[in-house]
Amino acid sequence: MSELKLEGVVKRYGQVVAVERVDLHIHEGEFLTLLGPSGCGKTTTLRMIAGFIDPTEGRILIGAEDVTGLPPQKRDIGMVFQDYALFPHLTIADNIAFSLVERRVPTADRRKRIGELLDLIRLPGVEERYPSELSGGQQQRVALARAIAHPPRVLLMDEPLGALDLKLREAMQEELRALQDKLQITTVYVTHDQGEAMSLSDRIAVMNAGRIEQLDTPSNIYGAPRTEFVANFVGKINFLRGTLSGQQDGFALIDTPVGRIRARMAASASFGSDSRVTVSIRPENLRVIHRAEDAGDMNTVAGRIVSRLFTGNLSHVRVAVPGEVELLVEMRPSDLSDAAEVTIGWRPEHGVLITN
Amino acid sequence: MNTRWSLFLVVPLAVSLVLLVASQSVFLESSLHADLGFGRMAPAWSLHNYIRVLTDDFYLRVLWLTVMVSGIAAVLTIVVGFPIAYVLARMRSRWAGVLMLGILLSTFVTIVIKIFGLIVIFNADGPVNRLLLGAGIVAKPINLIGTPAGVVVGLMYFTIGFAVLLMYAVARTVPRSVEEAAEIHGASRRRVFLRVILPICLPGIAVGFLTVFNMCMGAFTSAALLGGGRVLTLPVLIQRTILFEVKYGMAGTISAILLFSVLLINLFGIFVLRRFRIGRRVVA
Ligand SMILES: Nc1ncnc2c1ncn2[C@@H]1O[C@H](COP(=O)(O)OP(=O)(O)O)[C@@H](O)[C@H]1O
Ligand SMILES: [Mg+2]
Repeated sequence: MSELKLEGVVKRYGQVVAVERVDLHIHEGEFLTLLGPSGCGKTTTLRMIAGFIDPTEGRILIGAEDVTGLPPQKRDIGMVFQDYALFPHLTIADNIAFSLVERRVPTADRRKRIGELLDLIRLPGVEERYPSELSGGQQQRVALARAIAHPPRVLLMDEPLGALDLKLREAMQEELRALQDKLQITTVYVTHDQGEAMSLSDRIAVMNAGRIEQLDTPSNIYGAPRTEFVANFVGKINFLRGTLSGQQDGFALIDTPVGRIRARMAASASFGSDSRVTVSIRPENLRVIHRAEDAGDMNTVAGRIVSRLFTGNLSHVRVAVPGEVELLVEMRPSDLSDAAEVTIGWRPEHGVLITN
Repeated sequence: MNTRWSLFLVVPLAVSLVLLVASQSVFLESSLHADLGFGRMAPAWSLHNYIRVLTDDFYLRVLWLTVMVSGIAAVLTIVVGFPIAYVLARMRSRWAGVLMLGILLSTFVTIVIKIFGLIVIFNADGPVNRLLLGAGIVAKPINLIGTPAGVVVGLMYFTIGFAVLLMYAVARTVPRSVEEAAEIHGASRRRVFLRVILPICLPGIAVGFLTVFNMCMGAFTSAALLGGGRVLTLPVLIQRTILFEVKYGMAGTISAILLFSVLLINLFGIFVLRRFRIGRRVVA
């Protein structure tokens, strides 16, 4: 186990820029997820860490060692592939012991380790079976056991749950998280599924077009997105555009089509006065104000309901407000009357300022 | 997995059956009639010809030579063809398609033309010999034509295109990610080949070997032209027995021997593949 650093890593294929520039410092024992839409460079980044692709520029360090030019064999990395990539001609025991055999671990130690790992992934007794005799979820667990058999300095996973159905995926997420808490292996995980990233990671790097847009804890990625892209990619979001007109009581004052509203200042962002800004508000932070005295110090705006969607425990309601904007409000069905005209309110700290 | 691959053996077997049985069923029948000379055959059935062939040293030596030459040619063709096919299967550039097309086209150029090309190249004062002589590697020109080695080269030339196409399909069955999994978990390129690529491809390679071997056993043109009349294989001998000796019964018998040898060797191949589960077990 080691820390992992990517310093100014770039990958170009002729004119195509797969990874524009990535700087990352993954701490020892940390579980970091590269999250982003298809084609944003997640796999390319992961494969450069693995050593399957050479970066065009930049350095990759595991611990203190610069591994940039090193072939995959010499990097001491474990990897779980999306299609499992188990060896079809080897038994489960031999699959798991693959890296141990290559590293000449004595037979007795090997057997012991195989037993330990099969207990760990809760598949005891499958030693003599072949991969084709196991289900997808079981194969994925074997792939994980193979990757950590000889404790790797870094564990890489590229959409390892992508081929599983929803129920199994959720169960495997819990297992992965439990394993990570137990083993504390430095892990880089790739997914395009924000829910998966949220539930598994210590930190998330949201990638867009070959760059990292935001590197933060799951709760900050969700609660304090720094760019519109991040806000949009992770969950549902409302945007209100306007101009920054000043500050009051630690809140930013923004003039928007729905009037002057107050919003949280992002600690890291700096804005010149009068600059154009966007305020993002999560749908679950918006509520219907039934009586004016309930509003308190909330931002409020009057609007008209244009659609309602019942999703089970919650309703998604679209409300048209001035400035040709529709706000998405998430609420309990019981909070909603039949009235078409409503007042929407939200606490100032739930509006997050984003640079345009 | 094992069972599925064995089933593929039906393909070379079926090809052999159609090529050999269908076209030679007439000869099979005539093999049971003793020759009376001038193309006439005894009306009664007898095993006369078979006894003759299986007890005469001459025929047994020809059979042995045919099997040896075909076996060596098939092994060498696969040894040369598999790496080519593997590289083609792994190529990601546009050239892969062009090269495949080249192989495909050259496969369907008639063997007569290809063999004459070979004869020109390996001639006593052809480019190969001039190069070897000039470099002082040999003292006098080496002569492939009329030797078993020449026939092996001819058979390889005849079958290499088919072999590459067959092996290409086999190499494509190994996912790239499986190789990468081996690499990242510590296997050197050589170990990846020995522990992953080769064992996964082995059943397919065996099928390819048998197919090529069957082609060689029945190959007449390469053997006749490069053997130069001095290397007798079964197909060449059959032609001679018909044309020069006009012994239809004997020719039928030799054909039958050829057919049964091929069948036996193929059945043996199937047996071996079924008997041994391909792949190396490290942990018992
Ligand atoms: N070998 C390659 N040649 C050219 N372009 C590539 C190659 N590999 C990836 N790319 C491009 O780089 C970008 C990032 O790809 P990738 O890392 O696979 O994205 P992701 O895993 O996030 O979906 C994509 O636009 C892809 O088309
Ligand atoms: Mg990908």
